[in-house]
Amino acid sequence: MSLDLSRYLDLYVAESREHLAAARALATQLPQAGEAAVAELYRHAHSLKGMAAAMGYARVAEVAHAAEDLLDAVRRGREERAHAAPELLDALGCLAAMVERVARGEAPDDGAADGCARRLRERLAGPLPRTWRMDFVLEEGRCDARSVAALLTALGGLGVVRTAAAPTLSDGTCRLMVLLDSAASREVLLAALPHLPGVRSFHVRPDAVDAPSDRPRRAAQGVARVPAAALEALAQSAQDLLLEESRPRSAAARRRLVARLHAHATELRLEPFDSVAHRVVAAGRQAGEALGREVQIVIEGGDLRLERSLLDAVLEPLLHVVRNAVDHGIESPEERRSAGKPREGRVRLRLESAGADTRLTVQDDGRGLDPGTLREAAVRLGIAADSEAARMTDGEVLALITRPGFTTALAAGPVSGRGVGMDVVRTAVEGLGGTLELAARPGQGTWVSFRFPRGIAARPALLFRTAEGLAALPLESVTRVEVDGHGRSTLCLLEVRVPVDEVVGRREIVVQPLPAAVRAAGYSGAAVLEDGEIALLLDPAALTS
Amino acid sequence: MPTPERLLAVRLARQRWALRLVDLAGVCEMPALRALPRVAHPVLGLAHRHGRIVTVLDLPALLRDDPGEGPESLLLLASPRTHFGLRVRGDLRLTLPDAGGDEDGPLLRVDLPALLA
Repeated sequence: MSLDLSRYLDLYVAESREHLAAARALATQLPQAGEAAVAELYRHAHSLKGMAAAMGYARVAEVAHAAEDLLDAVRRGREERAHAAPELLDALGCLAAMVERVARGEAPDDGAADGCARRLRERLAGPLPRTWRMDFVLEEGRCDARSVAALLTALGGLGVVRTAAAPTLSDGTCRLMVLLDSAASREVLLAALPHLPGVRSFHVRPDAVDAPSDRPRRAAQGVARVPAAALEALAQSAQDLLLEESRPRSAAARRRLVARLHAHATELRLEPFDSVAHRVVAAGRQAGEALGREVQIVIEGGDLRLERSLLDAVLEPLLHVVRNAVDHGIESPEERRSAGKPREGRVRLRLESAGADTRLTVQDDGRGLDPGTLREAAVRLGIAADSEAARMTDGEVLALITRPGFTTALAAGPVSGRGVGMDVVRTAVEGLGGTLELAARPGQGTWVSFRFPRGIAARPALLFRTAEGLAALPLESVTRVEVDGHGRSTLCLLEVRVPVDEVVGRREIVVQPLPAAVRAAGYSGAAVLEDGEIALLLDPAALTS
Repeated sequence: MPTPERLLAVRLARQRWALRLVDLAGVCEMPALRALPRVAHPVLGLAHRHGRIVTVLDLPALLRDDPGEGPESLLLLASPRTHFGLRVRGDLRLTLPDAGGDEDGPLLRVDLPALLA
C-alpha cells in the first residue's frame, strides 16, 4: 500500500499552522533571542520544510529551506539576528499564505513563492533591494500634495518609491502609505525616517507579509489537538460520575463510570501514527535524493493510535533507522538492477498490535547485513577473538550493531553516518520500556523492530486460576471453555489449550504495562482487582510458542 | 550555596550502600508479592501501591550482597514510565554524602539507573 497523501492534508495544514504560529512568535523576538530560541526556530523551519516535501509541495519546501538556511547562518554567527528578523518574518508570512491556500484546496504557490525564496537567498548573499511598507502619520497641516511630494522625494534618498496611496485625512490626522524598494536594513530606515519632513510617526514592515502584532503570542509547544467529540465525551463521563455521587448505586456501577472516564481521558492522549509518519517519509525521501537512490517509503498501520508522548519519543530513533535503511541498505538503481531487483528500493514501516504490545517494524529490501562482515568487524574492533566470533550465532552477531561505536561502514555516510548510532536507538527504545529486535538476510534486506508496551488500558479479559495464581487472557483470544466430566476446565485458544483450576469469569480489567524482562516471560501486563489481588495477563502468542 | 544531595543509607550484611533520594519515589512496608513464574531472580514479583503495579527487585542480589537485619521495606523508584521497587531488609537512614562513616564503615554510592539498565 503506497501512501495516499491526500489523507494527510488536514494533518499537514494543522501541523504547519502550529509550526508557523510558534515560529512567528519566536521570530518577533529574534533580535533578543538566545541560542535556544534560534535553535527552536531552526527546528520549526526544518519541520515545515520536511512536511511540505513529504506532501510534494516543492515551492513551500523551497521557501522553508531558504528560511532554514537563514537561521543556520544566524546560528553560526554569520548573520545578525536583528537583520535576519524581517526576512524571516517575510518568509514565514509567505509560508503562512501558501499553507492557507492549501487549506482552501488551492495550489500553494500563487507566484509569490519564487519571490520569497529569492529574497532570502539574496539576503544570504548580500543586501539587495526589498520592498518595505511604511505607514506614516504626518504632522498637522502636512496632508497637502506639496508636503507629501516633499516626503516622497526625501524617501528617494533611501530607495525607490514603488507606490504611494493617496493620503487620507480623518479626525485631523493625515495618514500615508508608501511602498519603498530599498536595500537598507530596517534599523537604518528606523533611524532615518524620523528626520524626514512632516513625519510625526511611522510604522515600517516588510511588504506582503501578514506581520505579527507586537502582542506576545502563545507558542504552540505543548498544545495538543483534541477532537471536539472526545472532549465532549470526557465532560459527559465526568458529569455522570458527579451525578452518581448523589445516587445510592452499586460499587460496580461506579467502577464502570470510572473506567469510562479513564477511557475517555486516555482517548485524549492518543494520536494516529500518521501524525508523525509524514516526517519519516520526508526524511527517507531526502536521504534518497541526497544519495541518488530511488526509494519508496510505505506506511502501514498509520491509523493506529498511540500516546502522543510515545510518538514524539519514538520519532528520533525511527528517523535514524529509516535513514540507515536508505543509506546503508538500499542499493543504487544500477546495483539493484544487476541484482535482479526493481530500480526503486522499498522501506516499509508497519505499526501493529502485538498482544498487549505495539510493534513498529522498519523493513527494507536492500542489501541486508552480512554476518561474516560483522564477525570480521567484531574481531577488528577487539570485541571478540577470532574463535569467539566464529562461535557466535548470526543473531548474536547482528546484535553487535547496537553496541556503542560498532559500525561496519568504512566511512560515515552522507546521510546516516553523522547521527546517532544504533546503540543510541536501542537505549532510546529501552528507555521507553521497549525492546529492539533485528533480523537481516544478505541481499534481501534488514528488519528492525521496536516493541513497546501500551499504556494503561481497560480491556475485556477472561479471569481464571491455576496453581500459579490468578491470571487472565484477552477475551477475544479464548474461543471456548470446555468442562470435562470431573468439572475440570480448559480454555481453548486457536492453537493451544490451557487447563485451569477455576474459571473466575469475564471482566473488564485495567491492564498496566510491565517491564521488558517480565514481558519476555509471556506476561503482557497485569491488573489490580477490586480486592487488591493482582492478575497476570498472559500473552496468547507466548502460550502458543 | 547548593543544597547537598541527600542519600538513603542502607546497611546490608556486608556493606553500607547509599541511594540518592532523587532516584526514589518513596519507602513503604513490604507488601504481599504476586509471584512471577518463569521470571528469573532478581525479579521477585509484582506488588501494588495505591493501585499502581510495581515490579519488585531484590536489592541485595542486585548489589551482590546479602540481606541485613530488621524488617523488610520496599523502596519505590522514581521513574516516569516503568515502575520498579526494591525489596530490602536492613537498617535505613537518611544521610548526607559527607556525613562520615567511621563508626559504621564506608558508604558506597549506588548508581540506580546504571544498576537497572
